[in-house]
Amino acid sequence: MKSLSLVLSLIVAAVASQAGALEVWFERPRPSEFVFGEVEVLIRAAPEEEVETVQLIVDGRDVALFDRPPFRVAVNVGLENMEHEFQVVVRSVDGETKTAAVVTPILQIDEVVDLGLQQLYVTVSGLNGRVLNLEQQDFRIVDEGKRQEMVTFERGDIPLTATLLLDCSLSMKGERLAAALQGAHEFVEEMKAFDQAMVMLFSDRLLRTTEFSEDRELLSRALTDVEAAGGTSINDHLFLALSRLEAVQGRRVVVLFSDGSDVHSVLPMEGVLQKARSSQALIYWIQLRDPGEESEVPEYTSSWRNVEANRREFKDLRQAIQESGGRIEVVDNLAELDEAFAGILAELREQYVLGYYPSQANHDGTWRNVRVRVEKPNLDVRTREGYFDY
Amino acid sequence: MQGRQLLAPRIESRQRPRSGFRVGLWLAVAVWLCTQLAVTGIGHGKSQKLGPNEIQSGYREVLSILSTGDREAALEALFELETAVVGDKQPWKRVEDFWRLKLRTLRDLLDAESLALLKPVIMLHYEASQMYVERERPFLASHSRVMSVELAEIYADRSNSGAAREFSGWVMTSLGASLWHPSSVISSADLFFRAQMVDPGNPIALMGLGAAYERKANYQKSIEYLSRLLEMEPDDSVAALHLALCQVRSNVTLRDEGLQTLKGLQSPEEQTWVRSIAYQEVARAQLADEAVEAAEATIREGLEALPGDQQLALQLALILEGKRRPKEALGVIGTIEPGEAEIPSPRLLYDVWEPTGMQEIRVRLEKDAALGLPILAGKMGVGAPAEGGQ
Repeated sequence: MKSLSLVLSLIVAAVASQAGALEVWFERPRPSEFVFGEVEVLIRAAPEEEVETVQLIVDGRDVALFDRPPFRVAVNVGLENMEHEFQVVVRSVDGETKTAAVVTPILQIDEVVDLGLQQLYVTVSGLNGRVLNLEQQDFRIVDEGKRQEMVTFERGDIPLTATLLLDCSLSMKGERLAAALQGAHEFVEEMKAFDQAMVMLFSDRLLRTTEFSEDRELLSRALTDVEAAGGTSINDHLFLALSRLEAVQGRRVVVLFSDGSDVHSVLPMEGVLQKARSSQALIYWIQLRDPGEESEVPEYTSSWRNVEANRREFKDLRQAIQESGGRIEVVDNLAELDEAFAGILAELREQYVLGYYPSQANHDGTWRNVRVRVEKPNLDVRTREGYFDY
Repeated sequence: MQGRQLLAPRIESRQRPRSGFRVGLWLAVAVWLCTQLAVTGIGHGKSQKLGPNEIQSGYREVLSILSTGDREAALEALFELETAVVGDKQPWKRVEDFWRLKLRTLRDLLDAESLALLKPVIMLHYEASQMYVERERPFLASHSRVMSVELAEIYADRSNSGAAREFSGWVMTSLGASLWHPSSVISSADLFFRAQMVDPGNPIALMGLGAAYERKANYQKSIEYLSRLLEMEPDDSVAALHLALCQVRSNVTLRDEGLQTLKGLQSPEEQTWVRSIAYQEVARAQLADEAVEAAEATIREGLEALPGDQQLALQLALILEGKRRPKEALGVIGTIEPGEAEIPSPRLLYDVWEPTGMQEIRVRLEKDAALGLPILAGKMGVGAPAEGGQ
């Protein structure tokens, strides 16, 4: 009897093993592929119906968690010439796990590669709010007038990395600053798994900053015991925020909260505009105004710039925001601040991510205009307006 | 009769060279006062129907109290008198009459030997202007300021001595300094202009005019006043910094001179913030000339001299970005740390030049004014009739 039950056990185990033969591998990147900047990652797992979750880890950091195919995402590995390790952990509905890994090599100095997966974060709105039921074939990407082939398509809730850039200058003293901090706090509270953020407080100088973190408590702590003082340097700190975002992967966002305009920056907005174009981060500005204030463009002088020069700076800031695919949310009632932060977060949760390799890349550093169209009527489509072809 | 002759021309025709700020000043004052009247309700209170004789008698009573050296009591008596006269629905004409009546009272006291009695009266109205500000009576604060300034001009003009001119110049400068706000310089600039008309060597008035015209981007005017200041005080590095920047921004001829001055202000003997601006602005000028290598060298030298300077580091990062050296730029960005919250940035310190040492000036003015009290007391006489001959 003992030997019979042993045989039966072996047969059952073998059958079970055959039925749950979970497999996972990387379709992209390939082990021989050099990777820089935005990289398309495509994971295959089989049998797909037995997959419960697929977790992607890049260079030791959790980057994405999928619960259904396609297991595809774009990640930014930075511009440094170095090895990158891509790991995947797949878990079956039965609790079984399998892993796979790819290590991409360092580029030798005499090798030439073509980079440049372009990633577009697209917000589509209709008459009744944002539209989330579009398919890949509904979109058309046009790069310098030429239609492009889309290689990645995602929608919905994609992890993001945000810098909350808060103006703490003297003009924010009192209720304004309190409301801004509360709004930022709400933003942090609404972050989901794999989202991360950095808090950056500034006036005419950098006052406080955190690392990028998923730790809500750490981020919230940075939003307490803040006093308003000093002048305003938006240009400098927007540049700083965009630069620090470059070191992280995935979808990158700057949320700027300020009631004023730049006065004390050493950097011209023109330089920051170039940075914004190359960083591909979305920029949102919650612009606080006094109730009834009608003028959109501030009229003021300082020892650094006269009215006309300040107007140019303001125009360039607006252009940077518009080109990034973000937007300006004007708030003239402090009670609406929480709503403004929540609205931006909701918008970020309801985006499409389209990826393509430009068919006519010249790598000459010129600006290339991009348009995304949707083949359906009465829809407003917003995304960044182009990129530098490096 | 001599007293009449001393003051009569000033009463009938108060003409003087007008600064470019003056028309704007009166418009601003008019608008501001109307606003204040609407907000505070001043001008809608009940005034007493005092006749000219009663007003002059009241004012003589104030001067009598002042002549005893009890300035607080004199201020209270002035407050009683002035709030009783001003306060009806159309205060403008009434104030003009009031002003004339007070001057007539003084005129009747004055002769060539007794001009110094004006000094304590000037300071009485000076103090009254501060008192009305504290008591939220902006209309009377402005009226007192005008009284003080007009009397100071009369005193300087009629005395025609260096000491009188210096005293009057400091009265106006001190009043101008009390109104100084970087975002609204018109009122101060007018007083600084009048101060340097009576006392061309007043350093605060010259610096204030230099700073005010710089904010209006009128660099030629700014250069004129700052150059005069530096002729007298060649070691004033803040004035030299403002002059150099105005020269750099004004025209090609003066640009090189300005740049040379800026290079000199990079010396370790100068204040840290002055050095920082000097490095920043030389680099900005070099970038404007497309001398990128030179600009990078300037900023690197600046960072070596002033390690941890946030704005120099940002400039270097932007230059490196422009040179397509993003990894180095990120390295520089990584060095930027929040500074001491209470230490303003160099660019804020430059922008918010503020008159200093004004408390000491005020004490000196009060002491000087006290020397005129015996003359005033002699003119008033104990038990002398309050009403003077008209």
